[in-house]
Amino acid sequence: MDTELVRKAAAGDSDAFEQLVLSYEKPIYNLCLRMCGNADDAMDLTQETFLKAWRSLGSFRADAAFSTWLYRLCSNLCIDHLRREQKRKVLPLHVEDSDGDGRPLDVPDPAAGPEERLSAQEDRQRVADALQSLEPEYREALTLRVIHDLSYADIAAVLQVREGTVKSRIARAREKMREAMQKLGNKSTAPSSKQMRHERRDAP
Amino acid sequence: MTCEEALVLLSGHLDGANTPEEEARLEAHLARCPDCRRILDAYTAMDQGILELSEEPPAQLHDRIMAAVAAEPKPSRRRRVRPAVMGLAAAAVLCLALGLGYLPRQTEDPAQSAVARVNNTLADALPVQEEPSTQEAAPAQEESPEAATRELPSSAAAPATFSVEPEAAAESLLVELGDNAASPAVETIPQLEGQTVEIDGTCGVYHFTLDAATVRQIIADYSELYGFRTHGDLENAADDTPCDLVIVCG
Repeated sequence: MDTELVRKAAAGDSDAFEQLVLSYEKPIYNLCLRMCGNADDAMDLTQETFLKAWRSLGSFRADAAFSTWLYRLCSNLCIDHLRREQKRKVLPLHVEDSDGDGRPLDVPDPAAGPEERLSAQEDRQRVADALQSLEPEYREALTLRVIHDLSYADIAAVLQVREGTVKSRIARAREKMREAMQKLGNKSTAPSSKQMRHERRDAP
Repeated sequence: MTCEEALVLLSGHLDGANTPEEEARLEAHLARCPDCRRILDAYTAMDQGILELSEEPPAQLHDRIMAAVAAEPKPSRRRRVRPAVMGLAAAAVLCLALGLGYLPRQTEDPAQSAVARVNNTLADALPVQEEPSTQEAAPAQEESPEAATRELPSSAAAPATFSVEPEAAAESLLVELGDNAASPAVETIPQLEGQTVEIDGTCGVYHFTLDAATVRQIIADYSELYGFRTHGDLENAADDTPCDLVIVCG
């Protein structure tokens, strides 16, 4: 059980800490991998996450779930990493403002059909690329939901946002990702959401 | 229901987060909207695709982590040094004068706006506590032996242009000032040397006035634990620019 292991680890028991590492290295690695997009950085960030955890266990309060706390450490390290990368590459990183999560979603593009079956390796790469193309906030929320199977409440605790924000952020992430999948699937002839909306308005 | 609304419910459906009533409405919409049915298929396939991205970590990762941990000192609960004014924590607003630091004078606009913001934050965060008045901050200054015993540095008297607030209620925060050799920025404020203030979860709103360099350092040290929201261009502020740090604990 985490609580006992955390208590022992906080008292300096590295065997107990190793048990925690064994439990969480896979999910933490996968969060890092999806956030930064490559295995080398993901390994570094995973190591950094556990090091931070080891160093700051003394300030961990048992009233929060250890997993939530650990994901939050990891999330913040990943965002810091991306921010440093962003400074180097000058790429847009963030959604413009947090209110954006509350905006209505674009009307979906009905002409864009269901995706063809995702099965082969190239489809896997397409999924990875589409996910990677999302802004980090969207990518992170969707990853925590789908890969880590966290509830909206848990994700809200990790990201320190309201549950309603998580809900709309994930919905938006799915729609953005679907659009990205279409683009990567060479379906560029399909009208965009905006075009569709325009056509609808003009329709008799 | 519009397709726009349906998108959020489609997502909630996949996550098992919809209420029965929402599920019923979604079902009714899907029954007559082929577009949304196709989108649901696409989302379902996409989720499966995302799930399949999950990988086993490289074999060497575990040993790497444990080797790095072994090279670190053991974790220890950091010492707690409560500042002299800590006894006033019951007062809803606590303005701490750090070491030979100071409280902003209430006659100054920056101070007033800072206190007002504390009050606002408090009203949101601690509804069960008595609404404080700005006057309550004054006794804290008087009862703190170190407070207000030194003239304000001239730069500190300038308007507090930047402020920083943690986004969420802090569970525990240790503000170490001065005795950390690894943070040279802190050493540039001699009046704060050797001071350690721990905010250990006692309900309250803690207000510090520090220089921008120190606040940047605190954010760097604690960003993995707490989200910080900054107002103003803290990144580019001169090191000695006075800066409000408001910590909500509760």
